[in-house]
Amino acid sequence: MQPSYSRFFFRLLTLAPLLFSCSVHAAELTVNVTDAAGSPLPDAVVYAEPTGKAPVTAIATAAIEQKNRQFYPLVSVIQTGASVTFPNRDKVKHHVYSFSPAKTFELKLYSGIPSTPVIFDKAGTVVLGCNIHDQMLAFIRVVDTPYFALSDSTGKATISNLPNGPYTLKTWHYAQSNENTVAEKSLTIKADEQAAVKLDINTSALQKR
Amino acid sequence: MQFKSLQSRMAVIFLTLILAIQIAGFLAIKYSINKNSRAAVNEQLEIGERVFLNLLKQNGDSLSQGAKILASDYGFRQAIASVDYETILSALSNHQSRIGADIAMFESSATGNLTISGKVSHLEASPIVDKLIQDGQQNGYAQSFAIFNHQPYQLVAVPVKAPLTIGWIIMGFQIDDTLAQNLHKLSNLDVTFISRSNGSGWSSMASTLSMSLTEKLLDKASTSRLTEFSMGNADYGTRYVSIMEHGDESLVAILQRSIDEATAPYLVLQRNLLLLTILGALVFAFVIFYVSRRISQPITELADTARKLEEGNFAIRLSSTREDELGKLSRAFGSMVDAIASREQSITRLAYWDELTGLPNRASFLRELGIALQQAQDQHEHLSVLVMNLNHFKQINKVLGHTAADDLLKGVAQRLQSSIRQESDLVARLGGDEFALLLPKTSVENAMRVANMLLQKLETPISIADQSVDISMGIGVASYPQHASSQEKLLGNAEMAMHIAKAKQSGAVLFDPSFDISSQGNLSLASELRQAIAGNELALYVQPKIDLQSGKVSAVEALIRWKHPQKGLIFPDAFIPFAEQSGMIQLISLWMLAEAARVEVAWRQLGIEAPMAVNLSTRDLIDQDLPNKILALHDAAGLALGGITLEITESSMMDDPQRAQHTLERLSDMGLPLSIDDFGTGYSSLAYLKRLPVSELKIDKSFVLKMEEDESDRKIVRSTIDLGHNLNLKVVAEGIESRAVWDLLASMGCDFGQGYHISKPMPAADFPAWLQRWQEPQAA
Ligand SMILES: [Cu+2]
Repeated sequence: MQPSYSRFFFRLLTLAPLLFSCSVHAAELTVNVTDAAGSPLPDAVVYAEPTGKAPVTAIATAAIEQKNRQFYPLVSVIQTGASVTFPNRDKVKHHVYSFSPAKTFELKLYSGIPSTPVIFDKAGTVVLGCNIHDQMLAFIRVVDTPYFALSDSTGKATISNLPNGPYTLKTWHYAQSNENTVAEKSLTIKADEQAAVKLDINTSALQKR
Repeated sequence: MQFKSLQSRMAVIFLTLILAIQIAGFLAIKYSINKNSRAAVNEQLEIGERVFLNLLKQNGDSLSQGAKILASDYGFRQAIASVDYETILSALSNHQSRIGADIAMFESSATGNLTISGKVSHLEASPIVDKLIQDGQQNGYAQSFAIFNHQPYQLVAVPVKAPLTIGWIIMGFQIDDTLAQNLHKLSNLDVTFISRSNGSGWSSMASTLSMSLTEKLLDKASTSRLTEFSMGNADYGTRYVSIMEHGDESLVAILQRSIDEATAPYLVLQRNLLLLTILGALVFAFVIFYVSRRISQPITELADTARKLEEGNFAIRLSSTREDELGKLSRAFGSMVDAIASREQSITRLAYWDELTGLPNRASFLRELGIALQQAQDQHEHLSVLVMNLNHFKQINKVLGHTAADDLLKGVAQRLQSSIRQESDLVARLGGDEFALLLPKTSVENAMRVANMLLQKLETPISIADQSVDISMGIGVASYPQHASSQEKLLGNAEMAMHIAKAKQSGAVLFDPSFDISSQGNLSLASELRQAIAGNELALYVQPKIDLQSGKVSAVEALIRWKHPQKGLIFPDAFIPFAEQSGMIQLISLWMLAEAARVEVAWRQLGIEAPMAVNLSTRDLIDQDLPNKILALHDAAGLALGGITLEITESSMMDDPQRAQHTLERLSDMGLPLSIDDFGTGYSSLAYLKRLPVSELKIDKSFVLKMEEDESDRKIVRSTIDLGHNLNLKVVAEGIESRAVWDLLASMGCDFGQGYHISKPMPAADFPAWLQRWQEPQAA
């Protein structure tokens, strides 16, 4: 399990030089996400939408594993149109579903990796569940931009290779008091930029892993 | 009931005690039952409340289970996701009927849309559902009660997750009769639900009670919350469980238990106990009665026995086999009765029997005499009493000793006993040497015959201690109806006659009223005699005593006559025994002595030398003052001592020989010549005779009168004369009635003589003339 997990990151890293090569004037945006009290907030989805037309880039794929009757990772962010695989690492079968309007689907009882990945072609939030195991829960935020990142345990999210230009910086968290709110911030990238976002969090909705 | 008796008193005390204990016990148990049954009712109500709350919880659980099943149904969630209300509603009603819920609702989180399956309007449901969901968001589950359209419901809300909450399912049971019945089945309690809402009054929703009782309960519960009250003739323990209370909406469950019903099994117990109590008291009463009877009956018996004892009935046998105190008492009482009986017997014997002779005693004789007298009076029969007294018993006693005297009395008793004619004749010892004989149906003549027969029988000497003792007795005879009609009087008369008989030495004497100095006739005799002494009616007679050899008058014997003014001359036989009896003899003796002294002095003046012999009686001899009186008498008359001599009969000395001897010695010392009269009739021993200071013996005339014909009399006279002479005494013979006897006596050496042949007694005054005549032939 450990090797395959590291391979996923490796693939993300191999993608980065490719992006850099496409834009000469590229910067890095670091966003510190905190809750209302100022505590660092992990698992926040930070994405920057260009004010103008979005550049066409290759859409990365993603995988959400089921292990120990849990989804990993809890929160995923993908670009609209991206396909996601659901590899089952458990010995038991799972029945993954979503009734979310952004993507309604179900993968009926299966083991291993389903032959066809699920393509998320509509921006929004997809809540994943398993019909067998009620406690299994995961979130996928489908965004219309290739520039996105997840905040780490220190609440820091870094979007790299961000071409200069005006953007709308949006931040979303699954445990926001109002789940449909998205924190928006306009900013223009000229060089490496720092930004801070404060979110109103319903702590009872925070998933503890 | 007689509370006076020990038995009933014991019974009453113990019965009262046991009844008090039983009643106290009964009341205590009754109180305890009451208390316990109430406590039991309370406990049942408490348990009922718990059961009820548990039942509500179970209902809630089953509601939430059902709701959760629906919430996790994939199709249902798909329907929600696809906002397909038709499908949602049908799924709700389907599930509602599956778990038997009365209401099922779904509220979508996304749209707030409320889908309802059941008879509830949106308007009513919405606020309650919203509030329920709000509660449920905390715990993921909510439960509450609500009143829809005046009907109470138990509601449960569970979330529908996909996997986040996408809506809430609300399911509910109506609180109705079914629930009440279920609770009744589980807890055996009566259950009534009452509620109020929107300012309306209390109304009952459901009840296990009848309609009318429910109405009554509603009345009571609306105003107060009493935990115990009665409805429809029964007491109910009541518990109020508030199910819901918010705002003006209330829902209360009233749990009830009939106290009477709870007490019912105890009542059976109580009735049995009462029955046992009564039965126990009866058994106890019976036992008490029996026991107290067992205790008191012997006491009653003892009391009866004591009463019989008091009446003198000793024929009582008390024997108890009881081992207890009463048995001991009974036995002790029995032996006491025996002891008293034997003592009474010996007292009776002492009282009525003479120990020495075994004859009835005086008291016994009097008693028998009384009975016989009564019979004689009733049958008009005669009855006689003999009283016998041994002659000279004192002397016999003295000479032979006490033991021999007792033996003699026994011998006499036997002789008398063997002499009686028939069974009805009764011999008794009156005391000392005095005996009595009761002769029923016996006339005076026959009684005298019996008396003489007895005298004859007693002529045979009695043998005691190898000696033969001659005995004689004086017998007095008195008869009914001639002499007395009471037993004391009759016996007294016989005794009087006996004294006369002894005094006169005349064997048997029949009572004569003259004997009785206390009788009316004798009282007048006594006063007449006293009058005679004082009034000089007594006369001194004399009989000359001559020298048988020379024929000269040597002396005279003084004799007494009573010249009664009406009756004429009375001989001493007619009044001397009475004078001896009454003690008047001493006056007569003194008169005689005084008269003799006066006559003697007169004769001396005439030149007549004839000492006068005066007879002394027993009473005179025991008078210690007699010598002084005689001395004074001589002085008064001016007579020298020797002018008067004294004659004493043998028997007169025998009553008190010692005293008599003492008196005689003093008289003799004074110089008075003494002679023994009637010698040969008494029992004086020669030794006694020898000691007496006498100078003369007078042979009794009974020997002299027949001495001419009777050889033995002649021998007695001769030996008496010899005896007298040997004792240095002069001998005088009385009763000389012929010259032949005179000559015979003279030839025998007899010194003096007197008798009719010489002269009859004559008045003292005639003596000088007689002496003149007597001396003439002598002189011639
Ligand atoms: Cu699963």
